[in-house]
Order: sequence, then C-alpha cells, then structure tokens
Amino acid sequence: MKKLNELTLKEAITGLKTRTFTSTDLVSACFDQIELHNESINAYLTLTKESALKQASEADRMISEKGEKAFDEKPLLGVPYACKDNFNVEGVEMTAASNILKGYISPYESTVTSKIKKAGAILLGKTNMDAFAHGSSGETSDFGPTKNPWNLDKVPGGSSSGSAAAVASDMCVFAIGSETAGSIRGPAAWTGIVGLKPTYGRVSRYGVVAMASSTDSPGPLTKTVEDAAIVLEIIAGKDALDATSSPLDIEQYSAYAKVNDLKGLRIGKPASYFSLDLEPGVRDHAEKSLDVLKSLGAEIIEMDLLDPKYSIAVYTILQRSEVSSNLARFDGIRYGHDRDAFGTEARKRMMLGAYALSAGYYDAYYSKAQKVRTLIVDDFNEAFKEVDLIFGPTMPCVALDLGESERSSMFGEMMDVLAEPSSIAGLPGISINSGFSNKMPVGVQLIGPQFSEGQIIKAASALFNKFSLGERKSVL
Amino acid sequence: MDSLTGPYKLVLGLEIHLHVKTKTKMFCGDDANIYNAEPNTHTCPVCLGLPGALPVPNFEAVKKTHLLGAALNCSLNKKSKFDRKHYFYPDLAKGYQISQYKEPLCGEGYLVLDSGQYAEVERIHLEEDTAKSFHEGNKTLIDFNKSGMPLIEIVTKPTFESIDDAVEFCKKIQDVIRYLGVGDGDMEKGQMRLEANISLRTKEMAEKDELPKYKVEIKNINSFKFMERAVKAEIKRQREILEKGAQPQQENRGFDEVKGVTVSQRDKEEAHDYRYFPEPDIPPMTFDEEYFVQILSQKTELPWERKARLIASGLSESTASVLSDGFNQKLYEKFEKLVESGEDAKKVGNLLVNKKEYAALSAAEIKTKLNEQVEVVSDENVLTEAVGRVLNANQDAVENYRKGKTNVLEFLVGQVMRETRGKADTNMVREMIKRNLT
Amino acid sequence: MFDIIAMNMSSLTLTKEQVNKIARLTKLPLSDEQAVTLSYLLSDTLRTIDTLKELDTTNVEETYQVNGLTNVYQKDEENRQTLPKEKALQNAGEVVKGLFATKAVFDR
Repeated sequence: MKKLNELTLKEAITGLKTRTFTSTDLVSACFDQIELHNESINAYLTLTKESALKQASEADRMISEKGEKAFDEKPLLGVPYACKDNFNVEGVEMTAASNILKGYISPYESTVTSKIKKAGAILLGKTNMDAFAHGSSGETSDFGPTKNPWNLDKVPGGSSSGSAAAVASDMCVFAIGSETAGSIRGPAAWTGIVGLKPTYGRVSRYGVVAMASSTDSPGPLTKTVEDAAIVLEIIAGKDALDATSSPLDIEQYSAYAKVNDLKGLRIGKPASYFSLDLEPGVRDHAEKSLDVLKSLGAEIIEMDLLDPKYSIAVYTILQRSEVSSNLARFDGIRYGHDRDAFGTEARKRMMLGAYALSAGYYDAYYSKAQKVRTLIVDDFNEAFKEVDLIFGPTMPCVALDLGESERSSMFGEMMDVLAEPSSIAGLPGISINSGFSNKMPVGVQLIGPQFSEGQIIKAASALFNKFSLGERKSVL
Repeated sequence: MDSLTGPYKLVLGLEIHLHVKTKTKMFCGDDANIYNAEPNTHTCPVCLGLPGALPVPNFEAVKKTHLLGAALNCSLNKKSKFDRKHYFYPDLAKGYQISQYKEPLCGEGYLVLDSGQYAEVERIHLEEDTAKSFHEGNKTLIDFNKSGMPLIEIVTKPTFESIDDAVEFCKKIQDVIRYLGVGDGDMEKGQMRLEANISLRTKEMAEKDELPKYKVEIKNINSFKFMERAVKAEIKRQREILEKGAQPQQENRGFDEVKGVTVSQRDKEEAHDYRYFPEPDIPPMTFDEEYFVQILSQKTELPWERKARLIASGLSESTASVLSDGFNQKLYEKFEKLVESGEDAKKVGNLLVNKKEYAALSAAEIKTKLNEQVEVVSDENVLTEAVGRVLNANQDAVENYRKGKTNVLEFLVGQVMRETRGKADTNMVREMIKRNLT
Repeated sequence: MFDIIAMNMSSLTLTKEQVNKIARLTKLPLSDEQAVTLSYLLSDTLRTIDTLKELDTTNVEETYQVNGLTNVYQKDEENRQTLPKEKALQNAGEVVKGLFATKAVFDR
C-alpha cells in the first residue's frame, strides 16, 4: 500500500473526503519524508511546518463538521503542497533562491497562492530554484543545488528544481512552479513527473518574482495529468492585479483528463524538433509515444516549424532584456541587500540585456528579436491550421550530471530549445514521463494553440494512462 | 528682452509635469489624495516596487490626459502604449519609470497666447511620479506616498521667444487643467513642475527658422519667479559665451538661487541611456472614434474663451480676468448663478471681484442682500454734484488733505455717502475726490 | 520561406570598456578580472544570437504582448492593495522617522 505522502492529489482528496485518513496524517507524512530526504535532495528552502499542522487540524475540524460538503467550497481542503520560492506568501520568507533577498518576509500574497489557500490546500514550504529562475539545472541557487531524486549525482532540471524534486520524491502531494521557457516542463521531464505550463495570461503572475514578464507563466507540477488539471482549475483565471491575465472563461480541465479516445485529433510531428541532436533514448521514447498516440486514435502529421535555433536567439535577447529591467528594483533600500549580492548568472543576464536595449543596439537586438517573435507566432498559427497539437520530446537528453551546466554560458537556453518556441508564442505545453533511458526519466511534451489547455490535457492524459508505468518508483 | 539677449534671440521650450487629479494612483489602487498624508501610508506592493507586483493602468488618468490634449488642440492617437525608462535613483522604486516613449496619448497641438502667437505643443504623455526624497545629514530619506502618482508631461516645441510668453503659457495650462478638472497645478504642493530648454540664436538663424545646435535644460523649476530668474541668468551666461565666439555645451544645469547663477549638473559618467522598451506588463491601448467624439464633446469653455465672452458682455478686462482665472472657479460659479437668476452681469461681476465682503458670501446670500439693498448710485453726474457740495462744505479737511494728511480722505468719502444716503459707489467717490484734490 | 542574409561574424565581441559601461548602466560594478571574464561570456552569447540576422524582418511588426489583450485598466476596489505603514517598512534596510533611509545620494 502507498504511504500517504505518495498519494496523488486525486487520491488524497478522495481519502480526505471519505475520511480514510486525516489532513494531519497526510501533512505529517509529508514532513516525515522531508525530514528523511530533504537534506540530501535540498528541495525545500523554507518549511512552514507549524502553520501547516495548525491548518491541517483546522481542515480536519471542518471535514468532521461538514463532511464531504466542506469540499464544495474548498476543493483542495487539507491537501499539502509545495511552492517555488519566487511566489510571495504573506508572512513567509521569500528569497527566489538569491542572497539578495535573504531574510525578505513577503508583506503580501501572490494571486496563485491566495487562490490555493482559498481552495483549502496547505503550504508545506517554499522550494529551491535557480536563483531568480535563471537556469535550467537548479544549480544557480545561492543556497546549493537541488539533487535529482532518481540519482543524487544528477541535476533535477530547473528553474523549478525544488518543486519538481519535491513531487518526484513524494515530499508533497503537488507543487507550484513557474515557467519562462522550460522551467516547469524541463524539471518535470528530468524528474519523471507531470509539468503543465499554461498559456501566457491563463494564470496570474501577480506576486511572482518576475523573470521575463512577457513569457512568465505559473503552473502545476504533479504526479498525474489529472492532478495538473485539478490544480489548473484552481489557479487559472482573470486577475484584476495582472493586466496581462486573460478574461477568457476557465474550463473544467479535469474533465478532459478522463477522455481516453483521441479519435480525430491531429498531432503534428515537427521535423525541426526531431532533427535536433537528441539523445538516442529520448528519440526512441518520443517515437514510441507517437505510436501510442496513434493507437489511441490520433492522426500523426509530419510537419515543420521554424528552426528552434531562432527561438534560442529571440528568447535569449528578450529574456535578458526583461531581466535587466526586472532586477533593477533590487537596490537594497525598500527590501533585500544591495546589488553586490547578485550572483554571476544574474549579472551576466542583466548586462547582456542592458546591452541589447542600449542606444545604438536596440534595433539590432531587442527590436529584431521582437520582430522574429512575430514570425514565430505566425509560424505556429499557420501550423495550427493543419494540426490540433504539436508533439515533441521535452528535453534533448536526460538529466545531466551536477556541474555539467557550467560548460556553456548559454546552457539553459540550449537545454530548453524545445520549450522556447512555444514559450515565446505564449502557448500552453505539458510534459509527461514516457519511460526511462539510462535509468533516468524521459519526458515528452504536447503543445497546443493559446488557451487549448483542455486539448493538451486530454492528449497527455490518454498517453499517460496508456503508458501504465505501474507504481511510480523512486530511488529513495 | 532685447537688452537681455543682446544681438541674439531666445529659443525656449518647456516640459511641464502635472499631477492628475484621480481617485487612485497611476498603476495601483492606492488613494491618490496624498497631500498632507503621513509618510509611507499611501503605498502598496506596486508603487513600492516589491518583487512580483504588477502595474495596472488607471483609465481616469488616461481620459483626463485626452481632455487636456483636446483643449490644447492636440492630435489624439488611436494607438498608445507604455514604455519602461531605466535609471537608478533612490526615489525610483523599480529602477525604471513607466512612461510613454514612442506612442504618447496625444501628439502635436497648440495654444494661442494673448499676443495672438501660437505656442506649439510637441506631445502630451502620461507616466508615474517618483517618490519624494530629501537629504538629512549623510542620509537620503524617502517617502513613497508620491511614488506612482499619475503625472502628465506636456512637451512644447522650442516655441517661446520670451520668458513672459513661457510664463503666460504655464499660467494658461494651470487655468485649463483647473477648468477641466484634470488637476490643481499647485506648484507649492509639487503638483506642477517645470523644466526649461534654453538656447540663443542669431537673427539670421531665426529668419531661416534654424535652431541652435545645443540646448541647456534647467530642471526642477518650482515657481514662475524661479523660472524667470533662472532663465534670465542662463541667457546672460549663454550670451557671454556666444559673444566670445564659442558655443555653450549641451547639458543640464540647475539654478543656484542664492548666487543667482546656473550651475552645471553634468553627470560624472556618460549621458543617460534610458534603455526604453515597451512595458510588457501592460497591454497596448486603442481608442475609437466614438470615444474621441465623447472626449471632444466634454471640452468645456476654456479660460480665454470665457474671458472674451465676459468682456463682450460688458465686464471690464480686469474683472473678466479675475472671473476666468482657474484659481477662482468657485467665484465664477457664483457669478454664473447670479447672472442666471436675472442679476446684471456687470454689477454682479464688480461686486464679486471688487468687494471682498461679497466674495465671501454664497450666491443665495448675495442675492438676498442685493434685493434688500437700494440701488447704488454710480451715475457720474449725480456723484460729481455731491462731491462738489461736500468739498465746498469741508474746506478745512480739503486743506489738510492737500498738506498730506491723506487720512481725511475717508472722512470726505463718508460725507458724500451721507449726502447720497448711502447709495453712492464708494470706489467711484474715492477716486473722484482724489482727482479733485490733486 | 525567408531570405537568407549573409552571416556577419565581425564585431561580435564586447571590449572590457564596453562591459564596464554596461556595468555602470546596470549598477553592477565589476573588478577588472570580472570585466574580462564577462567580456568573453557575453561575446559568446552575442555570437549565438547573431543567427537572427538570417531572417528578413522587413515590414514585420514587433510582438511585445503575446495574448492579444488591449485596454486593460484598474477595477476600483479590486486593485486596492494598500499596505499598513509597518508592513511597507518591514523589509527596509534602514528606517528613520517612518521614512526609508539610505546613504546620501546627491548626483542628480
């Protein structure tokens, strides 16, 4: 039998509803696991144990008073979760894994965590990440790298490294992360879990430390596709505090996770994604996944997209330009420490961004990149006339060894090559595990048009269920 | 002016910053009535620039900028957006100011000066104000209440040839924004701040419409008197340089009020590189014809239009000036009410402007008083007779007045009032007696 | 689909002086050694992004807002997030008489 901390979100909700166990049991089980493994994995930076246990007993009281009805208003009542440390949670320290914010106590609450709180879920703690989300390995954290639970000598991917590792090692039921280009999907792929990056504007960015404002998208990291859909239902929606959040109605995403027939769904296989230098194990799993999708009724269509190398360039310029601007507010006056506390990665990014925006270079870099971005958006729009969704590997290889990322000044951008085009265009994408290569998880992803979360959840869930990977295993 | 500029002609342009009167701040929901508030009590994550906070624009401020633009005959742009302008200073919360660079709300426009000259407006845009900082000992102290206040910037072309014209323009802007309810423009409260771009050119250049190759910017001008003194000092400085055959440097200068000279504020490092780029946190703005028609329909009578109308209705130039002044909107409203109720415009205007005791009353009170009051005698012939009689009967007082004891004037006025049973216009009587005795 | 413009690999290096200038703009003072290292790292990145020159973007508009929204404004009470004074000041490096304090800056 599964230990409580190993439960999926769906299973946890069911168990709490049927009063098979209490929220206190569930929260305690997570803390037991954290106690055992956090030191080696370094997934959590801050734990909120005292308030979590208090909230758990409050949840238990509500459940015993109202029974199942308690879940009508609070669908996640009593479920413990982990949150990336770039979300403001009022009264809790937030560092974004950077020394410059060490000791910063959030005086306000992000919209995402506020919605989750309202839904009754309980925060276990804040998770490690690449400092300011600058990185794809988890190693740029000023508080030490997070390790991959499947192999402690490997990185878990980043920047939502701690959230992914916490889910993969069952130190929580689900986790929240954020993606600018690959920061949810990448670590989900490398730790063998599900990562959903919603459409830009589907989930409010209010209260999330900005990385690249025009692409940042908060989203869930979970054990199943259905879990991701359940969380998305809670966190999505228009927010008066984020002018870029979409007023479009949210859907009942979890309903899409129950469809296992993909008949009539046209799934594109872009040549330029498969012609990349992919690790053989990754390529094999991607091809096999396409076969599975076909067996589920989907039509696989060979197609092509702009060479992702252009996306690397566009993303690098835009992200660094926005980073140089977004990190200008850190002057040590109203909060935080002075600018000397910035790490090398942040400095590098700010400086390149400032250069790309400076007089005489703006047209050649920033403006050019925004124009090519238009070409990338148009390219996807054209593609989605022929196909409903696009399929590809999530990462070109499986998780790398610790330290390997230092070999390239653009390691992150290169690793996220398969996430960047869709991120630049603001598209939703989901990564699921498709098996293992060299004993490490391999992720595959589905990308759809803006606001097609329902469709990508449908396809990903059908594929996920078909893989029947059996009981999730872990080295722990 | 000529004596000041010598053989040169002044080329002056202005940048005027105005607080917009709105309920909330420019990009957040804090109460925008910050004046006299305790420091750091009107702040939130957005205007403190906390990590994760996002700006959401205030439509009231956008609309008021358009109202001002319409009043200044500006083109109103159908598409507009915000940009980030980067520089570091402790009073700038985010390390950038959200402003407008390439697509301002309003484009070119103009305002006609009393001389009939056109003062040309380059653009009007909307941005956020910075916090208030001041120095104490070796510290800079900052109050963020002002951070994020909506701020309109009017940029004129180098359109002014005299300081007087520039001052007139600023005063007209002050009147206009009060008329429109766009702002109060109280310079003492920092609601209106000026920057002047100054250069000199030869008459030949002026004839060819050629601009000088440099301009000197004087920032932080907080009163018209300050502007006048600073610009005069700067003209003197530039003229001396030009007369030596050299060219003044393009730079920012501040005015030292004690020494009465401008001093260079040249940055130690390279010129500012603001690294503008479109604000990704705020979607672009678009405006349709229908909206602009609505804005134009809200264009009320402007100060100079009101003044002309009042003069045409028989009021003196000075009375009309007072009643059309943006600072005297309440007084004008009383005037309007009384005239509407059937009172004579000229009479009411005189009362409100020249008699303090009336100005303080409400329209209704004035109305009552007017009804009670017997008619004022202001017929010059009637008064001349009465004045003559009084002066004849009071030769001693007349002698004393002529010897310099001017305080007997009021005694004589009082006698005339008695003679006319209180009906005489005291101002007229006073003037007539003075005229008779000199 | 796109006109290929000849790659231009020249001038894709940043000098130490340029790096120092950007460091001042971003208020990130560097040691000489750091400036040299960064000039290499940044030049490396510049060469990678130079690939954009291959694409013809004549008459192409910039995209800075990707999900097509326009005209989003405040909604009264929903946007009121005013902090009590104590919370506004709680993370300050230094507070003097209810004001944020920092070492004097006069250079404007």
